[in-house]
Amino acid sequence: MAEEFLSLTRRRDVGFPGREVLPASPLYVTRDDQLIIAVWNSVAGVTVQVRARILRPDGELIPNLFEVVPTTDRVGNDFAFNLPEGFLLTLGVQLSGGTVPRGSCFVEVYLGRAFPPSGQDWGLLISDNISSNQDLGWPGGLLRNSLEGPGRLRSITGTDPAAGVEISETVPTNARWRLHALYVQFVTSATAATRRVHIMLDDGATTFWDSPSSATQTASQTLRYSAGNIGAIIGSNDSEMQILLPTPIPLFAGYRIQTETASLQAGDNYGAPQLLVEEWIED
Amino acid sequence: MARYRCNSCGGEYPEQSTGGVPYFHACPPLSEAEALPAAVQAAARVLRDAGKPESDARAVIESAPEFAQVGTPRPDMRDENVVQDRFTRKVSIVAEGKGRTEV
Repeated sequence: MAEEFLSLTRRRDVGFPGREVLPASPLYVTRDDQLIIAVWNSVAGVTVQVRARILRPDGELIPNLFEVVPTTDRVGNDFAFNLPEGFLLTLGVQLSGGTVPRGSCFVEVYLGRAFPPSGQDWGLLISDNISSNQDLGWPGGLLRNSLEGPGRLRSITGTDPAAGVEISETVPTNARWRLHALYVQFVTSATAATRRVHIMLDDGATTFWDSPSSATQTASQTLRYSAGNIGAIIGSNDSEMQILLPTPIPLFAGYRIQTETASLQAGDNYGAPQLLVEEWIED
Repeated sequence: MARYRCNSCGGEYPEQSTGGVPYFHACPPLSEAEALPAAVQAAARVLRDAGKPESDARAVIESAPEFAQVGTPRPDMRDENVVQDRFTRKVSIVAEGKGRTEV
């Protein structure tokens, strides 16, 4: 007996035209629209490349390349480019030049008009940290704040102060730091006095953390101080001292990391501090 | 890599940190070592004028305005951090101070 015929394909209810197909993009742009690229960057030698594929009304698919070179001071760099009329299909952002770790360069791409002086945001398309190994794209990319995810670990040599002057390091404009460690050498003069080193954190004016060394330093001594979240002080060994810091603490732009030294003498001299911080760009 | 000496506080610093990131120097506040000599002079002057005993010196020093300046911004402080105008986007440093010298 022959098996009963069973159709494995069924006729679809929806049909698609073979010609006059609408573009798969919600973004129709005119010659009045501008592609605005905003970059906050802290690394030298960086070029940001934005590639756009635009379907023109005549059916031609045109690739466009927009290149911008941002400053290295973390301030906002805005660049505006006129667009041809058509459908914006895709955007891709990548870096050329420089070695850019995550947390050093933040990019926004949006459609706008009337730029400059104040670009009107008509649609944010891309907003994320970019690095040498991580490109950005639209559609499909996530819109992120610059503070999301891990930051960039930086080992920073600070200012070597003159004799009789305290250490003071300021979180730069448009940066957010998380202080992990501080290391500094302190040489005392022959003047008799009992010094005690404090590590202080303030908001640019008002102190919110003051942590003293558990031991003092007398005349003609060279000691080195390590500050960090180390749980407990183990005292002075081999001229190495420890000072406690609170749990890695976020510091905003303008906040300061300082020493304050009881009985500091004019001939006492700090070396340049070495900081280990995690850094984000905060626009 | 260029190094500079701040003409306001005397501190020395590099133009860039590791990895090509610019370094922005800002002067520390006045230290006890900087403010105290002026305070001692002021106290001596007050003691002389008032004929008070030297045992009052500490109280006098602590009440002297010069000593109260410990921890306050130094005159002509330099701050290389930048500010950006919200609308014009023009960038400038916070405070020039006495400038800097390449060393």
